[in-house]
Amino acid sequence: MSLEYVRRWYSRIPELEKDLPVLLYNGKVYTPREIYNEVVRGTALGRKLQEKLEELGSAYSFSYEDLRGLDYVAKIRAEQVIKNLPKGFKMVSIVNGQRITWTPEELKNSELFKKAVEYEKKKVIETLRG
Amino acid sequence: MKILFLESISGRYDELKYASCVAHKYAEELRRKGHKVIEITRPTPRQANEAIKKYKPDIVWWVGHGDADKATLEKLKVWISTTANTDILRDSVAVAHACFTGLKLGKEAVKKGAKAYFGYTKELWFQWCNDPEYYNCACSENNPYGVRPRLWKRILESSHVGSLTFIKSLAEGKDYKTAFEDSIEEFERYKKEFENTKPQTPSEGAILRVQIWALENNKEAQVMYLGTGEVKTQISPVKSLVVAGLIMLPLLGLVFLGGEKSA
Repeated sequence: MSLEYVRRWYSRIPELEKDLPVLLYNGKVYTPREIYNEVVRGTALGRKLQEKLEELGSAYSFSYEDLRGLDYVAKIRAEQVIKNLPKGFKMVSIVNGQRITWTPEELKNSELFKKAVEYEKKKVIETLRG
Repeated sequence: MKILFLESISGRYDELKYASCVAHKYAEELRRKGHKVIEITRPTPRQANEAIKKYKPDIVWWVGHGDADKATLEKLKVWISTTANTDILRDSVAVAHACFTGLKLGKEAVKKGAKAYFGYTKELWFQWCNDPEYYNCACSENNPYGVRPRLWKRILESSHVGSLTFIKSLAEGKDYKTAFEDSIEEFERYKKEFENTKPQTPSEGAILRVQIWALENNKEAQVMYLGTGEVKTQISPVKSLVVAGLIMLPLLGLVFLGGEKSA
């Protein structure tokens, strides 16, 4: 384990990803920025997070528990994005005879949200791999 | 090449204006390149039919609310359905910027003589601002969300570029399959741009992210029918393996994830 590993990993992460949760540890989710800061400060938590990061980042197979963790992190990311949407925000889908506008809360029950969670899971794996 | 754009503005609100604004921009570009471009704003079904009969366009683009078996124009007026008027598209390339029409209507149009049909098999998503203060939000950089103006314009455009890039590529002389691939590539370019944009506020970051979700969805919803069969977005090998793996999950407990690992 080295600080350099985390520095290199962090430097490759696009800006938009840095504040979205990527790792679940002890029931709490952490963003790349939080992981990086803990590691740089040399805390005990930082060491644990780096350990988990290196384990998942180099994995070609995941345990059932890890996969459930990835699903959870993906859902939290999608929910966090929706929570940060500005007041009055709406999406539109041009479907005949059905609902066409969606508020952030309503989006959570849409097909787009299911798609979003799937996409976020893919991004979590990509980010972990660096 | 002769290209007809049927630029509806209102469905239930002025939501169709968002796509029509982007279409207008592409229409001007195609005109500058020497193509014969006809634009009809707020078309009724009758006007659309008359324009097709008069100009005999090689390509017809329209935006409207859609279902698997029908497509509408201005004010939700049904224009074509699997049981009526599909033959109006005979000998043209039909480009439908409308949800779900890629499920049934596209197949029927090709059966009735359309050279190709570009549509969507799912909902098509985009952002908007239904706010009187931002009346021309669809066609300007103004927005009520505090997103930087130029970035907002890029976000708005990006949901609608697929079908229009397809037309642009055909007009450049590319074949159907290459033009379809170009339209997918265009989504990827926008996604990459948004992913690498540093948001100035959390809400700008959220708006960018939701737009990436929309692009991911819209890209996968695209479909094209030719006389020879269906062309659909290719799912990457990595994703296919994840999906396959998840189906196996209850049995094995372990999932193989493919793809190359970065150094």
